[in-house]
Amino acid sequence: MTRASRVRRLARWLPLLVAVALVVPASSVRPAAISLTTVERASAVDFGDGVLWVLALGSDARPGQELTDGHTDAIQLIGINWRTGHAVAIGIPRDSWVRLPDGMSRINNAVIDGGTDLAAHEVAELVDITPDLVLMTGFDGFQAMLGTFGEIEVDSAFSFPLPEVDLRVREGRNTLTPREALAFARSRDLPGYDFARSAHHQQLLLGALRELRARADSEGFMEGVALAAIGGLETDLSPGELYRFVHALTLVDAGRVTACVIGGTPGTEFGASVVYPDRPQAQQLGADAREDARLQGGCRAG
Amino acid sequence: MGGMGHPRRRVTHGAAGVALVAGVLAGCSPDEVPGEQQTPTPRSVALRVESVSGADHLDEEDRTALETEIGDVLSHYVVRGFLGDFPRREFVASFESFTSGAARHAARDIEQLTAARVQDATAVRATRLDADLSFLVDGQDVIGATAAVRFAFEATMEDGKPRPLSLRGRFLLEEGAGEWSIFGYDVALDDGATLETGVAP
Repeated sequence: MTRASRVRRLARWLPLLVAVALVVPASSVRPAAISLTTVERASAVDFGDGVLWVLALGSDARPGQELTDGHTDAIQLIGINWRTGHAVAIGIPRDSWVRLPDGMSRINNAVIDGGTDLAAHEVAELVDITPDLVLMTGFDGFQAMLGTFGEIEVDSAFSFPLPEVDLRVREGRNTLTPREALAFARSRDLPGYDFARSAHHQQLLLGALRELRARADSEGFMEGVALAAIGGLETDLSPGELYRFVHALTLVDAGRVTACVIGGTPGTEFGASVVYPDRPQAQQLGADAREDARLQGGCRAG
Repeated sequence: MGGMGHPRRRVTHGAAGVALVAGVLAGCSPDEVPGEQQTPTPRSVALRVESVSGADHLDEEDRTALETEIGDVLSHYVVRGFLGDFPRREFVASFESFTSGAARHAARDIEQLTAARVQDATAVRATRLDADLSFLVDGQDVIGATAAVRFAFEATMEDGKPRPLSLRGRFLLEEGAGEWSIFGYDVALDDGATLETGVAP
């Protein structure tokens, strides 16, 4: 980084230096010298080494309900490599048909049946990665956390309406308020069924990461995000640990984030829509990303 | 983030600590006789700490105590990392107030976090030491803080020429067991080393 940043700095000034060289007449009285100094950056957060695996859950619990009484309609297994700044998000369709202790069921019932531990167990069964940490939020917590950003930018692969917030999402980049972002996260009438919805959740995570990094230097911004996370997340982390975690997320390079949604075959069980997850693909994704939080083999879909 | 702010409050903190230590280390040795003719050595400025966000619900006494405690941590880091005897080779002591994990990272980044780049200087003094504090307060519990710093130093090199250094960025702090420690950082050091590009006549 040291040498690279010096080169980058010099490269940034090179056009100016060339321009100066061109405009200085040949008959100038004496050689001119332009002095540039080197600036080198260093950053670190004490939040463990290696790869951290976080299971991020979004509950559809209604106001007044415990988060664990709601279905987890957002399920993302996120790997973060603190050494390299890489991160990966593996999306699990909420309708994935899995075996729970009481029989076959959608995976989004796992928290209701056995709490976050069971959800973590089911994800580990599917991907073969055991989460180190579980974070769960609901509608209010989600909006409160996004509220600290004001607006968030997300990409969409297609255009579709969000009638509840009177908005039509465009294909490409969209700027959403927290309320619009919640509608974006919950929208089900999508061409890609449950898989597209999970991909939208990944877009929201990526947009939040970009905002976090872009505004980390703003006065009180990180503290506002951490305070919203303390109030909006259900987790075993202490407030102090959450504060560290939020800061640590700024070490993740948004350009080094890869994402994939586990594929599967839509079907019907007991009259309800389900997805039979592509278990071989899930296992391959887990094996690929486990050690370094990278998907070097791509999504391996199909 | 409007709710996080409060009117800015400026406290010149640790003036005695930093200025005195810097004066002793950069100015004269204990063996020197007071009153003896010497070239006056400019003293380091004092650390200025300002609470800029998050402390509006704390009473004055608590806020001042927090500024003092964090000011002490930053002062210790500055004195050990940038001031003191020169030339010298030892800068690791500046990380004593870091958490163990942060100190490990800092040892790797020692050239960006200390005056190690000018270790052959004959003296270094601080010309600007500003720290803006943003607190994370949950109810009445003060959990952590970000110190946005703008530090500037002037090293006197072996040839007698001055060389400016500056450190800008953020130090991340947490409170535990009554003590504050640094658990992270994101800083940029300008070490004053010049890349000279000649423009031929």
